[in-house]
Amino acid sequence: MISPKEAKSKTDEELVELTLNEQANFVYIIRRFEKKLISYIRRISGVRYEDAEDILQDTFIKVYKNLNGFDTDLKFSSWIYRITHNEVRSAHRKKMARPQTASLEPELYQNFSDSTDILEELDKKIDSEKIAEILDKIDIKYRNVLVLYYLEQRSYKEIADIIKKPMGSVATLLNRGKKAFQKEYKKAQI
Amino acid sequence: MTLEKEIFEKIEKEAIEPTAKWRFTAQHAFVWLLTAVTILVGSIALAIILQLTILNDWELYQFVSYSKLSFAASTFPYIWLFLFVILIAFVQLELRSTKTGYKFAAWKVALVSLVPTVVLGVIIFATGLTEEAPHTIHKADILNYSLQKKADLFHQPERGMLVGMVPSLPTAPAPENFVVLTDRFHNEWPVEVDEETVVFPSINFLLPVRVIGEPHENYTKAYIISPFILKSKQHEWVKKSLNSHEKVKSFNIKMNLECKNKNCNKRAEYAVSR
Repeated sequence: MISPKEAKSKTDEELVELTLNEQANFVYIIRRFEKKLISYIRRISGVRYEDAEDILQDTFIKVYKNLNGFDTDLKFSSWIYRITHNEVRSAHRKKMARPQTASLEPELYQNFSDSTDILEELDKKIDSEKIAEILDKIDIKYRNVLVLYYLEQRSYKEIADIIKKPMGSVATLLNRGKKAFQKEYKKAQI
Repeated sequence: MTLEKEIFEKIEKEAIEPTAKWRFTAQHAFVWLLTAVTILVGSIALAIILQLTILNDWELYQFVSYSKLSFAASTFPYIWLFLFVILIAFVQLELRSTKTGYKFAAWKVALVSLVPTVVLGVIIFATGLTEEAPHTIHKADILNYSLQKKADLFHQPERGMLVGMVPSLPTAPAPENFVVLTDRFHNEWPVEVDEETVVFPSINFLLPVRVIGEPHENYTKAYIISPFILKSKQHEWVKKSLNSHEKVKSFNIKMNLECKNKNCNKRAEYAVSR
């Protein structure tokens, strides 16, 4: 097993190779992505921290199982986000059968109010709590791209690789997502 | 317990191992193989559509339809078209499930599925590889639907046109030499084969035959007997026989005049009721 110092200098792809040679190195992949992915899961699904951890655990197990199938044409981060995205979707389907109350934590949505052009268009400053509420109301397919673009700061190409859709469709989803967000916001104002 | 500990415990407890690389390679290869097979089957379906449409009995359409268009509409192999459309949809799904399939817009994937299928289909048709197809599908009931529809269209006993099976034909036609034709509803039709009858040189009696003749009260006098399913060159023989047989020519004119007052395309019902 390599040292934590050595692991820091390795790329994601190198860590994959190292994990395939020695299972223990998988810990560095977990450490590198744990926080990012738990936020991502909570942002797109609105689940409680404990539930997000369960999804994340399943995600990492799936990542480990499929390490040999990692497509080197993709960025590793896109690939791991894709698996997370699929796990969230599958958890969402289960949740639909067994509805839960979403736990919305404003700090997860801080970036959104700082960076998004949606709010510029609305000419408003909305607090993070409100953003979380509105995002929770819009369709998951739109919420997903809005979160990936504004909160996870992913490029169009990366989003396309994560959700497995052409870049044109990503642009369409993002555009519709913005409109859905603005519509929900206006509804909430009335 | 931290998340990483939980993950490693689960990996150990359930003895989870990374799936072997060859499995992913095989999975990708399988998707491409399936795509190739679907394209091939789709192109065969298209070649059969071309075979049944381009090599339709155009020399005989006047016997059953007023126009080429209505003849084409009533004999078009819709079931094969349906199969072709389904296969193209499958190719698209398969292409989408390849590693990079999701990157392309729907119209591009549709084009990529359609172009090789159409090109291959045209090549198969042009090389005559599907020439035997109608004979083969004649044995398969579900796929035989288009041919049955055409048989019903051409089986009009009251106009001297019959389609069905005959056990054999007399080797040297003589006056009052009768054979019995059995249509697909098991009705039996006596057919007179005499010196005026032009018989296709080598008929396969395991496949249906077509009789063009003149109806009489209890029998049909045959003028031309040919296989019902014709290969490309055999169409020429039928065309030549139709043009050279004076009785068929004059009888056909008479029938066309009669048809103006009747709906000739609905004669199949007559055969059923008989």
